Amino acid sequence: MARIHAGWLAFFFTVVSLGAWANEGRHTNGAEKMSVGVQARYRIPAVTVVDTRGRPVRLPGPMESDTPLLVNFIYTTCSTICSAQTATLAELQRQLAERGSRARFVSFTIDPDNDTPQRLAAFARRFSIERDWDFYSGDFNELLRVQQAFDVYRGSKASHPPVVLLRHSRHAPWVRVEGFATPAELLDVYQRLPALR
Amino acid sequence: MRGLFAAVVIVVSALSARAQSAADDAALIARGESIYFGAHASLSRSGSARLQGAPIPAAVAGCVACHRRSGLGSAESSLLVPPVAGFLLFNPLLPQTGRRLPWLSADRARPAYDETTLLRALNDGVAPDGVPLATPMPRYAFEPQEVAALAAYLRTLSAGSPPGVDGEEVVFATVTTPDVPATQVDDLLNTLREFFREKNAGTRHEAGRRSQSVRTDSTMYSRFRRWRLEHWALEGEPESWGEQLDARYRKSPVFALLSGLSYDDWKPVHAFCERNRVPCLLPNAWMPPAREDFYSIYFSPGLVAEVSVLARSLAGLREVLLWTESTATGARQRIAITAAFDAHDIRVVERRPRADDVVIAALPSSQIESRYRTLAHPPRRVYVLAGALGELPGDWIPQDEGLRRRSVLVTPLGQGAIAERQLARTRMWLTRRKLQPGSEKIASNALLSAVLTAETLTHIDERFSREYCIEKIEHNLENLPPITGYPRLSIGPSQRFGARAVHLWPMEARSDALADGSGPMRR
Repeated sequence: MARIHAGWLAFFFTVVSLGAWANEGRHTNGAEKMSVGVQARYRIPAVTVVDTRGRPVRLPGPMESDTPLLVNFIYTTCSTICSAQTATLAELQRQLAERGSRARFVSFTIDPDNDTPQRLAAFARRFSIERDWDFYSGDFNELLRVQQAFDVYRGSKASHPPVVLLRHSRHAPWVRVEGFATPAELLDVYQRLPALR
Repeated sequence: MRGLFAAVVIVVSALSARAQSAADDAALIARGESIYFGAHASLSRSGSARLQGAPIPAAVAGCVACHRRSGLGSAESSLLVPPVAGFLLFNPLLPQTGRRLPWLSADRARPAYDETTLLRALNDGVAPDGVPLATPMPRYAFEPQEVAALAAYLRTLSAGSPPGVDGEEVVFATVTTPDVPATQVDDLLNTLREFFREKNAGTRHEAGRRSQSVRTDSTMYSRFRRWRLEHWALEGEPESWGEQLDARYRKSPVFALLSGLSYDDWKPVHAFCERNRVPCLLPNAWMPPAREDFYSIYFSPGLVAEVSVLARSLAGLREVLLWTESTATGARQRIAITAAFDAHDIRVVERRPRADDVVIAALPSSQIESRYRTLAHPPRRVYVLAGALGELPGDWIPQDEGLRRRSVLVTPLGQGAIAERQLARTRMWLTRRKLQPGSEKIASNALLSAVLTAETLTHIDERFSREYCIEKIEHNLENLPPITGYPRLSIGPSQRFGARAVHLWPMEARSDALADGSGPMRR
């Protein structure tokens, strides 16, 4: 953590202020501004989840690679946050592909009793998501451990915060983006992900 | 004569003009509704809805996804989705309005929208006062006539009070079907009536405060009304239940159906609720329809989910035997269970059980015991579909040792220490009120329906929008203290079954647990 250089921190402050709304006076827009922070402490727990084909996947296994990784938490009957965030990430994936950059995306459901592998597959199709993106379901308590590990568990699914977690590679620190970032803002964060711990 | 003719022509043409204009209005509102629900062609045009520059599918682009059916908005985590119902959108939002409507931030004042500023908001993302709309709000490419239709529909949202509510009273009904044993109907009614009695005793003072309060936020007391409960006991065959419900509703409109009890086909009640837009809040229904609509919220998908989980665990098995009651209800259960097994390529056969057979029992516990005793060759396993039982998983241990060893409960309910801790709250509530229900399952479920409804109605505006009530319950259910045997209950937008998980509990393991004192606590 201490070894992250000053330029990087300065970048974060810039993003935080970029994320602030241009509104003047006391107007609010109903959504919290975006914020970015570096977190080294997340550790993916050793749990078994299930992919959209119903195959068990032992974590952290496939998440411990040297490809950049983006993680978020969704549920398929979510009315607001999950669809908006998935659309944003899908757009980011498209923009990364245009730049010849390839990252891995992982979405965990926070409602596994309802979100069967089939429902998650249908959710992915709705956003034309085809590759390099895993949607994981599984046992409620195992997925709860993943949410707790990434500090996104807020007691009920309607209270879950809009968070995207990014990491350059397996030895790099996690970067946490809270709030509603635009694809451009996320791309900016992505391109400056710290490589070393 | 000619004058009379002319007068008739004028009256007829005036009437037909009025009829024409009403038809035009209805068509306009219908177009607006299809835009609101994301079904209109204008939303399917490629790139017609974009979120931060990215095209989004029509299913997500409809207003209803976030602003919801009530048009009163929603809250998810830190995100507040503002209301768009016409009575709010086309009026200025003042700090006072914010105080009166608790889900609005008090400092978000804005001028009233009109159709021009609404078009600008939807297409360019700017409020009437020039403030940009929030990031999660999509941008559209609407034509003015599409926004005119949308505006006409928005004006109908949450307008006026629904039936079953007046200034003094909220009316509920609880529905039972004729197959339910009388003692279980009593457990249901006694629990609900006791809850209503206490609720009304407390509300009396709130009504007084409402008339005496001089504070500007006195409107909070206007949410308090006397609750009245009706018991709608259906009679005869399910084909006539829809008509019976409509007749009861015409005679005495209710705001919502609360709890309820049936082991038979619940589809007629479900259809009644969707048809009349009446919330149906957590009935004990074992045979609800599989589809999730809007107004009916269930504890679990019931029979179909129990059979489906069981069938998956029996993968490889070709046939099972099925025990159902020899009644009309039993026959309907038999058809539903057979169809559910068919979907998993398991055949339900009728013959005397052999030693390696698997029996599925959908019967009251006493009948399972007596039927088991008549067998010459005990089957390998008896899977008890616990939705057919009046008891909780901890409340029935078969007397026969062989049956105990062979039987497995199939149920969405939990068992053991956690379930017992949850039910302890209900038992305390019942004991303090000197209620001794034969079925704590029914009593605890009924109590939760009532607590949930009371909690929800104190959080909604005095308009008592039924849709907003349902939307609040989507949030509230998961946050209530657990007082039933269900390990988790959680619904959400377009999710109407609180508990989807089904467990297989071997009886033997449970009776061992009882012996070492870690099992169910008995009163």
